[in-house]
Amino acid sequence: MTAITARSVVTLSIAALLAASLVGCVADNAGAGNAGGNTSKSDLKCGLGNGKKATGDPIKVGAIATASGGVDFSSSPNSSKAYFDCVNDNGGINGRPIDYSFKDDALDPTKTAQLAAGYAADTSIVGLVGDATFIGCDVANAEYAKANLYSITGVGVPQACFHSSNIAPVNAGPRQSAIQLLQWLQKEGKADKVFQVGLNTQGNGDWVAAGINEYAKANGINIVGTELSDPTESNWLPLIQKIKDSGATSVIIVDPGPITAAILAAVEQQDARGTITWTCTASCYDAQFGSQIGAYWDGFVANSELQLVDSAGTDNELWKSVMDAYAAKDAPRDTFSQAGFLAAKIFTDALLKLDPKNITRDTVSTALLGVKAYKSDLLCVPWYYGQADEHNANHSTRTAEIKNGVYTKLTGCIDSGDPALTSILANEKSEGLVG
Amino acid sequence: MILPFVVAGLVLGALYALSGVGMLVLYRTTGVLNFGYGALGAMSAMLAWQFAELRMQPVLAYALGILVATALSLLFGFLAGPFLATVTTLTKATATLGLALILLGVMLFAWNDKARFLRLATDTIGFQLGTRITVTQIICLGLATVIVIGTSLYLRHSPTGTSMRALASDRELASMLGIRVRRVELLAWAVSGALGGISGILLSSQTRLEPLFLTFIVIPVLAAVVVGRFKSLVGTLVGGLVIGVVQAVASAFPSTSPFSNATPFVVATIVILYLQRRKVVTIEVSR
Amino acid sequence: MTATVNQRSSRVAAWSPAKLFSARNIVVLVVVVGVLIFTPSVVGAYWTRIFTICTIFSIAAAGIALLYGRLGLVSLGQVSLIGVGGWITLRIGHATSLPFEVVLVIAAIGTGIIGVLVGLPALRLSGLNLAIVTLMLAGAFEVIFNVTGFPNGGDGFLGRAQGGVLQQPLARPSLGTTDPDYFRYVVVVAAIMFLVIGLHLSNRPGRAWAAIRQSEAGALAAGIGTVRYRLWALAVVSATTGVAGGLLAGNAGLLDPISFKAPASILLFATVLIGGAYSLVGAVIAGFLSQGVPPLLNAWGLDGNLIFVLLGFGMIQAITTAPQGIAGQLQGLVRRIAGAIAKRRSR
Repeated sequence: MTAITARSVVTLSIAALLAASLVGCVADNAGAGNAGGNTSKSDLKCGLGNGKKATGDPIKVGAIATASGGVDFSSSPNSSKAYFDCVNDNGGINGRPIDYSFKDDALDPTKTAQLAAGYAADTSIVGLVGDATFIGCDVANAEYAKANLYSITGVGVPQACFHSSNIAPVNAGPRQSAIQLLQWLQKEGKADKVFQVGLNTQGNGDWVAAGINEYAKANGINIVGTELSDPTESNWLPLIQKIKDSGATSVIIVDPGPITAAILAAVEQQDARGTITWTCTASCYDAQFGSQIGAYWDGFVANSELQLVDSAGTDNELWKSVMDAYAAKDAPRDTFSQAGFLAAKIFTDALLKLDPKNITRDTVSTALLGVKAYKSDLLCVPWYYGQADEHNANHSTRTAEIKNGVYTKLTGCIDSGDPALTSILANEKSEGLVG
Repeated sequence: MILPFVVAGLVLGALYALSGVGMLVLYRTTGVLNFGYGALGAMSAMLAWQFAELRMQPVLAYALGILVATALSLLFGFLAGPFLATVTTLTKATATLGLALILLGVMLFAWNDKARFLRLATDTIGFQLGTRITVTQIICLGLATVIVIGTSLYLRHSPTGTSMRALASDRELASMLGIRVRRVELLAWAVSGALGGISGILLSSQTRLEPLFLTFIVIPVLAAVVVGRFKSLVGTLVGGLVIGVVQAVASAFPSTSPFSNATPFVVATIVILYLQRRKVVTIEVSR
Repeated sequence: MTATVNQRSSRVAAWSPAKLFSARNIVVLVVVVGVLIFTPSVVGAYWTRIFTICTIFSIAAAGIALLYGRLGLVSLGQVSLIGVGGWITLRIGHATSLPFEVVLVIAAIGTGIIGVLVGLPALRLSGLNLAIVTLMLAGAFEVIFNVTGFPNGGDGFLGRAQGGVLQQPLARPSLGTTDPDYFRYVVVVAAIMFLVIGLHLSNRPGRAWAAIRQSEAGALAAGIGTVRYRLWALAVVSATTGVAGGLLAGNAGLLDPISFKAPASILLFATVLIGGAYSLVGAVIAGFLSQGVPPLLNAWGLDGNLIFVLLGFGMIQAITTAPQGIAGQLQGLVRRIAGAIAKRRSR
């Protein structure tokens, strides 16, 4: 019997490490997609764009995002942070830097409520930018409304984020994203039998499914199956079986990127892609998604709630370059990142109009509420805030498909056909919110 | 078509059994039911993933992960062994809960709770056998069977194995017979850690690579050990396979599918209650 | 004849003024009243909410402490019972317009019944087997909660709002609508729960449980109905934990299955071991350890996940060197100080 002595263990480990270092490495072949920017750091025009570091009294801004517990939307606030860092390097808000940080609610609404109460009570926080909570918009809004605190949310996901008085998302939301995929499928004649996949999170999967069903009923589309699963699900065989059994010709997946990638990997393992048109909402629109899911999935279609990554356009280019200069190397270049960037930009532009000596929660809230007809090449239609109990200013999206591992443009802007949007559209017209 | 579910169930069950064997070897030798076993596997999988992300050769990354799991298990056995030998079985198990929490904390601190993917090279190679089976799945099934049979034979026929069985029945007596008790115990901890590392990597590829999830996969694995009545290796293998298949087949039907994940828990509860049906008032001797 | 007289007098003795107004009870009363009045204004809105949750979990921790400290039973599934209590509170709260207090009582009774029913088959288990079975039950409840979710204003038995209908949070009790008021409400209810458990521990049930733990054969020989007392313990613990669940439901008005996973029960048990399973002060410490320390770590800029490392080391330390936990060590300290003072007085 060989003795387990300390010496033998140490020798074994050193030998292993040596072997590792000698034989060790594999070539780096992961591409960054087509999401690199072309502007150098010193030329970036963030905020005032004057290249001077802001040194005044910091302006505190916060955000709540779900970064753990099964889904991770931290890409949005991280991108807001990148933009704010750039703004702080370029004159800040008329000389005052922005002190930005976000908190993780770990997919627990009790925690969201706690964090929201904390922000509401902290009067030095003037506004919230780039939020991306997956579950807590309703409890958060209750706290914000009591405290005159407003949020330009980067990524709204559940229904409550679009039906709150103090929260206005920059993204279109999974319901609009999914309905516009359905509209595209209908236009292409691929919508005879549609299967929808989503999450069973309250206010998310069921709300999107209701939207798809409403649109389908109004337009004579046959929805052959709906499957809402737990965010922590890892067994995709039942889903694949259901899709096969339903005879669907197209599938709309309304899941975050990593979950969709897991589903697609399971489908690939079973070689079940077939002739079905597989689509996903904007949550899959990530520059690295193509290389992540592999060559098997060439031709995969996703919706994009903001501009397509490879498009020209000042804001799009600014986003890419700001991410290159200020964000982590492996930070995702996805829709959520664009949303966080845009939210921060809208916030900055609104605050630049204020008197720098009088930036308080009240003045900021008034300024945010007054944002209207905000144009950006990242958006299809102008964005606005406005005093209302629902906010869904972004309701036109684009579509892209994966070709050779990267997303390329499939369609331009498609306006939403969601029957539930009529009140919002009427309001836009009557209040002149879109210019 | 149930076949893909049966295959997936057999594979998952084989991994439960493989894990369970590691736990059982340690339990039979030292009386410690290692609740930190899942955490060891999780650590191995996370490290393997991390090394692979740092562009190390995959096989080397896996080997390093397994090595670290073995080392951690050995270290815990070395430090806590003398104390654990003196307390009751319940306290031994509770102490390993502490190990599980420490490892979990380190993992969550180093890598957060994001879901990641451990793509084994053998995941994409497969063939049709009524349904599609990948090489990874064949490895899982094969490895589980080989290790169970191998461990069984080892315990029965080799001198070390006999020493382990002697330790299991009476520690003091075994030491009086000249068996190097501490050395055999440390060997058990090392073997257990290695098996935990291997099963951790395979489990993470078949389920999810997530520290919290993999740490508490010790609960279904425990169910397999329970079916083996904490004694029988073959019982653990059968238990694991049965639990895996029942769980997978339950997920095939819409009415039972949401509850399929509860299979290991239900099976383990029923087995324990059945085994303990005759009330015996025992006085446990804590050594 | 003499025996009957003894029994009667022991019951009288429990309520004598000397025992009621002992130094310890007065100190506890002063502390509780102080906490009630001053905490919200001293710590601010965020921490008031955190302390509310700490207090709620300390009720559940007291139940675990009763089971482990007094009866020697390891229960690794208590957080599931919190979930059951929360579910009942939400369902009844949405379905009827009964006052919150009544709903809490119903939740207590309901959770008590469910706890007893689920624990009934496991009644004769002890030691490791019970720990494993409770862990398995925690896992099973996790799956059930994932399937049923928590009621949020919808119809049907499950009470789930579906298909685009916004979910409604449960309203707070009329006595505690604002956060500071709700904190005080929770502290009062927690004090009542602790009183219930404390009374059980210091009277006949507590003595019977200690006898069962010491030697089951001996307890049987002394005529203590082990099954009956174990059921009683299960019922009391389940009921108080159900109340904790109700308070948790009232806090945010909504609950999510993610808060009631099996690992949460293991963590709560770990905090009880560290805080001290042999006293109710330990339960309070346990509540703070499990719900208050992670935000504290976050506030200090450290990763909240380090709580697991702390709990792991704490647990091992508690098992090896300090089985009485932090509360036990504190009590030892108090005793030593009191002894030193007494010695100085007697000189």
